[in-house]
Formats: sequence, structure tokens, C-alpha cells
Amino acid sequence: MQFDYPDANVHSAKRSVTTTAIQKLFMINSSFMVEQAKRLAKRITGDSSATDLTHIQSTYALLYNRKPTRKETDLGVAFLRLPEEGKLTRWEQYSHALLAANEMIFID
Amino acid sequence: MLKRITAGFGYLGLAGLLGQQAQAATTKLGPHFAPKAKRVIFLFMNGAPSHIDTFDPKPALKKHENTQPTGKIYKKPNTTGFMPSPFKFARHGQSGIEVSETLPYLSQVIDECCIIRSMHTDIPNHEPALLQMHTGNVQPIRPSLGSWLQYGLGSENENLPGYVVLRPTNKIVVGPALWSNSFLPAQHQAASIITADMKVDKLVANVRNSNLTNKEQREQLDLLGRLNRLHLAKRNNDLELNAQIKAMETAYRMQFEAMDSFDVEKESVATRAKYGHTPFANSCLLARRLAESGVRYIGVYYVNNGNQPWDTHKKHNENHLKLCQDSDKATAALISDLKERGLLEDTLVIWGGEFGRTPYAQNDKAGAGRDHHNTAFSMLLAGGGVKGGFTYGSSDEFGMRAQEKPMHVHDFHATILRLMGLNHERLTYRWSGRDFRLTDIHGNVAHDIIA
Repeated sequence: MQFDYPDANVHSAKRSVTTTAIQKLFMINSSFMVEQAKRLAKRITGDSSATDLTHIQSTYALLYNRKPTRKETDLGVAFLRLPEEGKLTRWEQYSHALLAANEMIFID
Repeated sequence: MLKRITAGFGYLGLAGLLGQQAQAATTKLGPHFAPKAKRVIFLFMNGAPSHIDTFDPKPALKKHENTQPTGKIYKKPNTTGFMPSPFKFARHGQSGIEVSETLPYLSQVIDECCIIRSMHTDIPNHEPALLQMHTGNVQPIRPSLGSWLQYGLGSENENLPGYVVLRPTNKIVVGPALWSNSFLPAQHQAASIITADMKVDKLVANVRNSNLTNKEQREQLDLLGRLNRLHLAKRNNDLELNAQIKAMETAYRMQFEAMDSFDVEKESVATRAKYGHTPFANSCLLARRLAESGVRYIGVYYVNNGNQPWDTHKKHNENHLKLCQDSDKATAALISDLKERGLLEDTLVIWGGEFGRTPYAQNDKAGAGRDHHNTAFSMLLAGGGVKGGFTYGSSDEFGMRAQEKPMHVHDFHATILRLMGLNHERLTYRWSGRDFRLTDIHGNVAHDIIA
């Protein structure tokens, strides 16, 4: 089970916070998350011939509503240059990582 | 606040407000003593099994059959009076402990077991009693025993969750509040596993990545880890964000370790036959594999199509016998299997429910049942540093009330923590302005049962 439900026998002022590895397996391996990552990658890189740098900036604007830092951009560019081996493009893998990141899950 | 300043961490102002987190992250916890047990397997019989049909023989009930119970009773019973157990009791093992004929397999391993016959709990209703047995408190929103143990002792295996709950269906009274971390840090929640289908990828959803090579996935999670740590650094190393990062790493490693630890198909035909092939038996076998892999606390729940099968208000004798046939075999197999593997000495096995059942009948057209009974019941413990072939405490001649050495649930919890090397008075967590304990302001360790 990914997420818990409260006991209906008592009032519950707020949902209690849980963090389990089972929830994370959903984030990194589920077909749902992979599908969202593919769509995000397509939306960002689609038919644009812009550079990775521009695409990274668009992804941050869309997901986190901010500009990436220099360090974040460097990490992204380096990752996107790695050779592809499996069934997903590096852009899809990158989009997936950003969707699974704490910044996506938590609102400050 | 004064305590925090004198303890050397925390500052006034913003950092002071965050002091609780700093304290939780830096305080050295247990063990406080050399532990006798390293892990717990709690076999929970949902609905509450009858003590007088299992481990607490009461021949006086026969003599006083159909006599009305006297003294303070929580509600006026609809009863024809005392109902003796129809099951024969006999002495077993070198210890000669009397066990009901409904438990032939446990009778054979009784010399490994400690039977507590003087348990009692506050309220004879499932929800509060379940919560009390799991969290010490009759109302929800307190951390569970397994969460406290995780918090106090940490994990023995970084590749698996340290706290796992197994049950064949979602149907269970109270539900996740029974294994909640509540206000303890978020990683101390149990990983809840439905055991209806024992294939590893059904037990642990999404355990496989079918798209990336191992190298690619490692690269992806390295990137994610770096991004998460940059995010964390700007947010005062927040504990919850950190728990998320740790859970991600556990999930990555779990992909490999779970394929082995969760796979009961790797057991021999002989071993599987010894446990039986019922859903409860499968969970017991899986519990043993997880204990072997270093999981700290494994809760196994006996539920089926009913959310509390041991709640035998009707046709008690018939239903009790059926439930025992399944539970007895698997429980005894687990105890002897752990013993053969040298794991029983530091694995505490517990068998029992949230309370007992009335020594008097609960009349029903379908056939007499037994009602909820909180003032006396029995628990079985085995291994983990408890004395084998030992009985502790007693109930009165009718099994109505705990008499000698009464053991409240708080005492039971204090004793389990002691076996695990923790002082229940020192295992505290500051929340909402005060220190909380599993045992609240109660609890006495039953030193007599410790070997």
C-alpha cells in the first residue's frame, strides 16, 4: 500500500506524515511515473531545437516555478550527456528524477 | 528550552524553534542495556482469542456451569452463565505446562514458551484495546511499539525497511494507526505488505524497474540524490526531507534485497509443509525470512475475509477450533524453525490478541459465543531472552480477573522494551511541549520472565 488512510472511528485533525521505501518504489519504478516523465520530456523538448540549457530552464519553470541554479544546471547538462542504454531517453530519465524530487513533493 | 540550552544544542530564535529537530537528530538513543532480543515477531490474532480455551485451564467452570458470574462486569451480560471449555487440557513438555487440545503443535514446543496468564487491559472493546496493545494508549495518534523500537534502536539492515507489517487482506479493524509512527520521525512508519499473492513483485509493488539498466538507474538516483541534497541544504537539513532521501536509497537497495528476502518460493517443500499453506502460514514463513534479513519488527495479522476472525460471539467452540488449527501449526513451525536456525535466542515471538474472551457464554441462536473480556487473558512469548517452559501470573478460578502478578499492557510493553535493551522510562520523544513514552507514566518490567 502506498498511502495510508485515517481511522474513520475517530476525528483526525490532519493526516499523519509517513515516509516508506515502498512509497519510493512507486516513485522510481511505477508505470504511472514513467508515463508522466515521458510526457513531460516530450512537452519540454518536443519539436524544439533549443539547447539542453534552455530546456532545463523551462523544466524548472514548469515544475518548480523558478530558475535553476548554476549547480543544478551543471548537474542536468552532465546527466543529459551520458550515453543511453535502456528503453528511456536521458531526457525522460531526467524529467522522471525532477518529478520524483523532494522539491516536487513538498511545498515550502 | 532550558534543558536544550544546557544540553549544548539549540539557539534562541529560529534555531531554537528547530531545536526539537536538532535534538532528535543528535541524541544518542539505545540500547540502554545489553539486549536479550534483537527483533520481534508479533503474531496478532485479530478479534482476541479465548484464554480459557488455549492456555488458561479452568476446571471450576465445569463445576459452576450455568452459574451467573458475579462481581463488577462492564455490561450486563445476556448469558446462561459460566461455559466451561469443551476442549481437554493436558500437561506437555518437561515443564508440564497445561495446554488445550486445540493447540497440538504449540504443545510440542511449549518448553520454548513463556505463558503469561495474568494479562489485563483497560477497555473491552476492539478499537481502544487494539490501540492500547499497539501504542499504549486507548485513543489513536500515538506511535506504535514497532515505531518506538525503530526509533530507539535503528535498523539492522539498511537494504530493507526496519519495520514490516504483513496481512493477507486490507480488512483490519483500526488499520494503519496500529503501525503508525505518529509524531516520531517519518521513517519509523511500518512498510505495510498485503500477502494475498506471495510473488515478490505482488508483495512489493514496483520492486522491479523494467526500463533502465542498473547503471542508468544508479546514475538517475545519484542525480536525484544530489538535487535533493541541494534542496535540503537550503532548508536547515529538515528531518522529513532527509527521511525522504533515506527512503529513496532504501528503495533502491530494496529492489535487489527484496527479491531474495521476500521470496518464500526459495524455501524447501519440507519447510513449507511444516508451516502449512494458508495465508497466515505464508506470512509466518515470510516473517522468518525477514527476521533472518535483520528486519527489527515484523507484525503478522491474523485476518481473513472477516476483519477480526477471533471475535467469536457466535458458535465459539466451532470457530475457535478452526482458527486454532491454522494458527497453531504455523506458529509452532515458526518457533521451531527459528530455533533450528539459531535465531530464536534473539528473536522474540509473541502470540495473542487485544484481550481475552468471557468465561461465561454469550447466548446466540446460532450457538453460544464468548464476549470481549479485558480483565484477564493470556499471551504466549517465545525466544528473545524469555524463560522457556515458564508460566507467569494467574487469573482467578473462573478466569474472570487477573489475580497473581497482574500484567497490564503497560507492564507488557515495558518488559518487551527491556528485552530489546531499552529502558521504557528513558525512551522518550519530545512533542507538543512534553516528553512522550510508550508506557506514558506507567509500566513495570516483569523481571521474572527474563532468562
